[in-house]
Amino acid sequence: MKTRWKLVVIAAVLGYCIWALLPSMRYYSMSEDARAKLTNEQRTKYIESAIKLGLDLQGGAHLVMEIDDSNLDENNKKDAVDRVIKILRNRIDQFGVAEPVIQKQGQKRIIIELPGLSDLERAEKLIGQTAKLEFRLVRQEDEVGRALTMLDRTLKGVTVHGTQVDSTSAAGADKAPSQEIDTKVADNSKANVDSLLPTLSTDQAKEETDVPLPGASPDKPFTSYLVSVVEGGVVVDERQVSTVKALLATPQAQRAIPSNSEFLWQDRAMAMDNTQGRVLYLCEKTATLDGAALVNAQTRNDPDDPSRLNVGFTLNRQGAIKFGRFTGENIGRRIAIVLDNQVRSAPAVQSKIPNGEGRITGMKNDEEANDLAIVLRAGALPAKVTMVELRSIGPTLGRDSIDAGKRATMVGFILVVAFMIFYYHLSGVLASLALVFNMIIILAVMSTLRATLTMPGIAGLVLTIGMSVDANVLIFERIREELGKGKTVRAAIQAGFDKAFATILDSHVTTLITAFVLWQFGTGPIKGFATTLSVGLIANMFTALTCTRVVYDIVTSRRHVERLSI
Amino acid sequence: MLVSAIIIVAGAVSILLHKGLKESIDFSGGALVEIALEKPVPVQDVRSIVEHAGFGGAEITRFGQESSYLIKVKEIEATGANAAAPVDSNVTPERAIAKQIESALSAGIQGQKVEVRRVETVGPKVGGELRKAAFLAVIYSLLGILIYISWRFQFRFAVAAIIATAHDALVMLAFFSFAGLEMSVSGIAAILTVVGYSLADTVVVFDRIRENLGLRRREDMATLINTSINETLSRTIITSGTVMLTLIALLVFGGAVIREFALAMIVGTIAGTYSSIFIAAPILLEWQMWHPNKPKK
Repeated sequence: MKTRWKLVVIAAVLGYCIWALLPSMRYYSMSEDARAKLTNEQRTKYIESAIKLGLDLQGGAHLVMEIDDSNLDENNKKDAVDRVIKILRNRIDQFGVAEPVIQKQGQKRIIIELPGLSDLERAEKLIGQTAKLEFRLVRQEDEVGRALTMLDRTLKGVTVHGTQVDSTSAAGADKAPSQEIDTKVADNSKANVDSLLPTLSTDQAKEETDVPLPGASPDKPFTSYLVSVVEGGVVVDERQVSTVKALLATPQAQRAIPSNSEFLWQDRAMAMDNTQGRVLYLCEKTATLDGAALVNAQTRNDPDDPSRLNVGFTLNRQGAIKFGRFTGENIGRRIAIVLDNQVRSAPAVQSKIPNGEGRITGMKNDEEANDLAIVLRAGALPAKVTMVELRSIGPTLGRDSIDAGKRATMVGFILVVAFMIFYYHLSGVLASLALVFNMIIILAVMSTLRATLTMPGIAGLVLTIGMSVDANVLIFERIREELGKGKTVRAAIQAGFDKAFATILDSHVTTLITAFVLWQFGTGPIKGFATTLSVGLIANMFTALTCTRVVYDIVTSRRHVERLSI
Repeated sequence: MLVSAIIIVAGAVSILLHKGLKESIDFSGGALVEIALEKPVPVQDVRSIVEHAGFGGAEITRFGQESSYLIKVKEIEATGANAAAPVDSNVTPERAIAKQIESALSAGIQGQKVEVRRVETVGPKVGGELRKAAFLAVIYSLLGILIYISWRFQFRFAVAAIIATAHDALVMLAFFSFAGLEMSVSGIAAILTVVGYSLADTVVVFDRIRENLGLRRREDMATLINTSINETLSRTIITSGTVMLTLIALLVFGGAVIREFALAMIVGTIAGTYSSIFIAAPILLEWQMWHPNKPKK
């Protein structure tokens, strides 16, 4: 009777396992073509019910982002992470990654998993971008000229090595000239930007194949770095952007820049003769309008060059009114479209724009335009995010890992089965069957729990093969021992199982404790290892104590067994 | 026991000499790039490209297949000079390094296309936290086991088991140091797995001792422990054998990512089997000698 109930339980477990594994078997035995033919609905169904492969097996990226909420007030700090997650989810969904995982970790971190990601750099940009859009008035030429003159004056004696500012020599030097600054400003109010530029002209540069870098000259410590002037701004050689940046960050420079203005860089370098340059704009410090007023952003064909895309945006009603007034008041002047403190473009206002529509140009390619539209639609992040951890695995490495995992599992399995049968004969066959059943249970439970199979997870599976025979070994050894004492086969089996039970329980629980700790501690792949190990241990107790036992009971109850093949 | 002492002391000396264990970028923070070529080239060729990109401190090794190479940069302070693209302000220095290496290599090596198989970057803060978490994980698992064994057996059994297990962990650490392997997250996983396995081993022996304590009260402790060990010896050897078989399968066929893990586990399994017999049981015996105790029923 008892045996019958056990058989029912075993049959139920086996039935369930097969049912749970069916989608996985179908899905993973499909060819690439067959998979491609599936409708989206079918595919989601399969992906939801089949065993999930970890990023290390199918390829993809695991990112940990940390938000910097130091600029937020208490009120905004509380839900900053949640708001960031919402916006990021929005962006990633529109980006089109199947089955992304976006999770909060602790107070300030967000884990993002993007399976099967092919273009890492693009995804990084899409996720990491704050996407703060602003419209700022560009300062006029005379104001720029004045600021540059002041910079030359206050930066006297300040030298820069790479990005390191050597301000020790500047300490004394910067006091004396600062006295005369105020008096001289008036004289320079009409200063022309061109006149400040060093004599190194573009003509001269053309003649030389190796373009010389303009260096700091003692009397023009700042403007000597400028290579040319464009409408609305000045140009710095790309190779010296970091140097000029360091100069601008010095307290001396900060004093020279008018408090209502700010220098902003162009977001990309432009090709110049033989070299690359980046425009530096002097803009109003406060934005007239920002991206909060934006209701939509779409890519559209560039009217000037239909083969390229740019991003058109629409402002809400209030924004449109404000934008209309702003453009109306500043006809002829330039407005910088600033994204994340970098100037995308600074077009001159031709006429009043009443409908609240505008466009952003200058995208490298269609993908960039697409992504910009996505981030603008999804909105700006309330706080800056930085990627503190990245693990990205290419698809070929994943495939190699799967192959290696399969091979190791097969070899491990065959070795163990061969040994068990050699050593325990028919009982070894029984243990091997229990082992197969064990592995079926592990995979079925994993697919039910929607747990992820990772490379270390496969290692856990292989290890489980070795460890799971332990329960059977304990029982078999015990039975042999009892037989040696002269007990009958039935009594020996009975005693063997009874006595081995406590040992199996204790040894499995101790291993489970460490597997549990491992699961708590680990992320991604290691968690996968801990999961397979834990499930394997529990499945093992079931197969060894119930399944093997039932077979023995059936065999010994039907007829009198004289000798046990063990 | 002497052998263990020698291994552990030598391991400790080796760790001290190398100023601590070598840490992987999981803990130290840094950047890792794995590339694959169609045909193998001398490591020196890869190195010269990486060095040219400004990373002289990079560690470059062949990895797994003949034509795969692993490039690791841990010295992040070198970034001052080769700061990343000046404007990408939210790119971390580690990521910037990985990007620079990728782009330096993307030009190709000896006309071969370079495939980037894996990129990992870990910030130093995350690494530090992970190190702490790993340490705590080992401590918590030992604590959990101490409580469980104290409950199922006796406190003295628990202490003996923990010492035997700590021995295994120390032997593994010594092995990491000798072999010049890096301590990574999967290294910690290997140690914790061995901790679990070795404990199971010890528990099996203890279980027999507990059983025999109830059956043969008149025997003296030394004989009793000896008998128990002998009775479980065949099981101990068979199980370690099957585990070893699967570990060898992993080592040989499991691929490069798993190789170090399997190697560490093999060492740990040997130590674990040995420690259950030659460390846990003797400690129990010594304790009994000094503080005789009537076993509870």
